[in-house]
Amino acid sequence: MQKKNAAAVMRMILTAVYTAAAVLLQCSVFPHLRLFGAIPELTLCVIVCVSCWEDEKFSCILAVCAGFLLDTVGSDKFTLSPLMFLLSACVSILLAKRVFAGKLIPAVISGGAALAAGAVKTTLILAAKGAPVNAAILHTALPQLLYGAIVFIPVFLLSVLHFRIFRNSFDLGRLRAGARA
Amino acid sequence: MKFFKSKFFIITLIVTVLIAAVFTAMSLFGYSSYIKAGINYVTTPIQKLSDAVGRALDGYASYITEFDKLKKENEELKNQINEMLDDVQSAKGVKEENDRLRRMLEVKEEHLDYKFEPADIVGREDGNYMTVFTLGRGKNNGIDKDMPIISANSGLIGRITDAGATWSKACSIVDMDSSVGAYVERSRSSGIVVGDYELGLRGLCKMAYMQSDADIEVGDRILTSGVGSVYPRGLIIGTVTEVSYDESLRTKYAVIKPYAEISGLSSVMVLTSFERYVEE
Repeated sequence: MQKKNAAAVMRMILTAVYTAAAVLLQCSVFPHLRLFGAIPELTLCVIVCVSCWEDEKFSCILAVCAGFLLDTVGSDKFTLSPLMFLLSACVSILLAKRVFAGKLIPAVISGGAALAAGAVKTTLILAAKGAPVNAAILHTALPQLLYGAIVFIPVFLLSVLHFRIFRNSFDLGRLRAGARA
Repeated sequence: MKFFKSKFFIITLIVTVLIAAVFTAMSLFGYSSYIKAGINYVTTPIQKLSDAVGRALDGYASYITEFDKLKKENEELKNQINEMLDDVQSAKGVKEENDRLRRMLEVKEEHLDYKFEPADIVGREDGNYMTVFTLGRGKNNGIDKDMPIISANSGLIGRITDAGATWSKACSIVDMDSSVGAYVERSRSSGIVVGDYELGLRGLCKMAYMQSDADIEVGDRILTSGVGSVYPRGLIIGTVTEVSYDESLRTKYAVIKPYAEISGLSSVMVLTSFERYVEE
């Protein structure tokens, strides 16, 4: 039992490290790799994928912490990311563990919904700052959504790999129980 | 479904909403929190490292989206370089450094009341709706909130928005949160230079709220008015590239090209002290 717990704890620690790295990448590296003038919501993609696999409580705490870290490092005036990340994690948890037995469909649906929500958030903040809504959608929100979708694929595949390496029988039993429910 | 009705989830949701509300309100009213300062204190050195990686990768994405444009530009630049290479090859690096230092000296001699603190840009959070520079110096070096930052050629870049012990954050004049009191050097017509979303995408800003009969022309230099005491009077903001009339506000506005090369900056000067302008 202790061995199983150790594997789960190890996986959670690594997941937290990956998420922190995603925040730093989003704030420092991706601004230099803009596509069509936008940067992707990398951290949001990580949160959505993690929530599909991980424990519900851990996913929620990680989502809130990652959102707060992102807004702090990015010096955002609006600290809305914790709430948005928490809601995205909830959608993932709900779809992955309650509605669907498989993991690919819920991850894609919740990833798409989260990225769309991210684009809406960007549009709303730009509109609140006085930018024309049409231009904000065209020049920033839409490219951000598309770039996010591109980034989501490798993030999801890496999350699958990560879970397969560190999974244990406790997780499998929990997933089967979730699927039956 | 049981999880979403659990005490844990409800408490987490309430705490998150409170965090969002409290920190957004604090930020909007200009208060900075110790938690944010602490996080920035830890992350700034790591950010410096990851930003170096980002700088190394700079522009790679544009190969995909702007390949044809870049190819054409590359050919033009190659021709230009060939023409210029003979003239400047040997002394180029030394000359540039010399020019930069001379400009700094000129600014100091011209404005005896100015006190500078040079600072390197260690990070650049170029988000989807803002551009924030992280500087590698902070309160320990006399840098504090609302101090103006200028380039080596005395062009206004922006102002410090937040400062910790070893770091500080600054926003540029093309940012939508920026507003600077300004006047036209030639005619003394006044207005406010503000960031504009669409112009900001092209690295430009806007001089707004000018009287409908204001005397302003393309090519005019725009300087800071010093009103509001954040910026000293007479700093060069930029030059006018376009003049238009806003029908809804019934005011004139001008598109400004910043004098300082904001996109390619690696170091700046923070004006830690200057004589405040008093309107007569």
